[in-house]
Amino acid sequence: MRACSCFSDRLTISYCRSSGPGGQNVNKVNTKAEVRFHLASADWIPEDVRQKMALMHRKRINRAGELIVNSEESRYQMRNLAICLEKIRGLVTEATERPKVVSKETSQQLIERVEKMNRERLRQKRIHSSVKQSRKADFD
Amino acid sequence: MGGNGANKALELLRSLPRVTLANLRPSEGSKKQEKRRGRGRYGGRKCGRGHKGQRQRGNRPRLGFEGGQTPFYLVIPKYGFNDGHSLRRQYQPLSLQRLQYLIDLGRVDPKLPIDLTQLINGRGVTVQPLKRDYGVQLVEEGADIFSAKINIEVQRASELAIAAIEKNGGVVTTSFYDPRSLEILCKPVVFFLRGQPIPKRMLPPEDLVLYYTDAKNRGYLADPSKVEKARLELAKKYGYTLPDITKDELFQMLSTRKDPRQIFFGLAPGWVVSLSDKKILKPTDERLLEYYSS
Repeated sequence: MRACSCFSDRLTISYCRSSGPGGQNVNKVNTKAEVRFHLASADWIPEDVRQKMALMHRKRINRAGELIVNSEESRYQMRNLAICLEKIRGLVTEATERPKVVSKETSQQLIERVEKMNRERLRQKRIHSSVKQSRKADFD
Repeated sequence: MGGNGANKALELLRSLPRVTLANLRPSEGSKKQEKRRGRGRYGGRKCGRGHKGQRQRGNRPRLGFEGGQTPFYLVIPKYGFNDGHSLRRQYQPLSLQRLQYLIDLGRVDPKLPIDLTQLINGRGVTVQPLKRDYGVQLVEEGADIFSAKINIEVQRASELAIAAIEKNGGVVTTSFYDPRSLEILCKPVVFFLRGQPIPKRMLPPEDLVLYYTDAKNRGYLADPSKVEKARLELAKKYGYTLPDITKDELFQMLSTRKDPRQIFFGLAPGWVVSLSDKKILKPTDERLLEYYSS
């Protein structure tokens, strides 16, 4: 995944001026990095992952079908570009993960563990109760 | 129009009289006369001291005194912000913007490997080894503008700075200089005049060994294959294609590195450089050779 995501000919990178305070420097220097690529034709992502991404990140996709990621967090263009690429990698990884399948044995074990914990808790409670009772001086 | 002005200036130079003390005058408003006290009217009378009291009589209490109230500088409790500050290692910052400026002005030659001596000769940085400076560190300021292919050796470098230099096809190395070697590196001529043999550079202390053996910091003690891998990784992270330096015409220059025990390029430890005789004296005794080559 890491090797594929850096084909700069597949990704369209553009720079523009960032927003926020900063005086002359923020007005003149192009530090905001924007990376966009056409999601449907991105053959470096598997088909099902692509569809899942189209569902999950609807808001980031424009009418032409391009996924847009931008970053203006850092003062440096290079770092903003690195952040954009990192974000894209994160999106793809998120879309690739499958729901965790808990095997039958493990789910059994989990239920057994919970029951054991409850039994132990009640046992300790009974012991504590008997200790407190033994301290009572009940003179008949 | 500029040429016309230059010709006019040259004509003036030919025709006007010689510049002497009699012809010179400071520019209007540059020299203001100082107020001499005690010489009447406004500099005199009370002489700027006010009327009676501690002020006029020069008996004011010390700085920080608040009339008996516990002063601010004693109310605040001590905390170890500055503990051991004189033992902390300091590195003079060198921004990529400044480096680009020096290269553009021709004060530092990018065709030769750039060393701390080269930077000091070009008056790019000022390093004070006696003030716990351990060298120079590369800082990211100017990473977007930087466009020079150089072989640079510093003492510390941040990741973005390394990426910016390698993007342009250059090479960065971080190396350690102990204070004695650093002094020699900063002022080589003064050292050569002493007539002592060049000492061998010491290896880094325990806490710095990890730093200089790490390929991510391009340490001089790191494995070259790991450095190659780290270069590729950095290129992937920052999204640029790593230019192939082996196909470069300056590959020979870009791959020159110093030996871990060497201070100067081309001079080995143990040699004595004599500036007056313009000769280099090398040791011949076996034990000395063994010591200096260890």
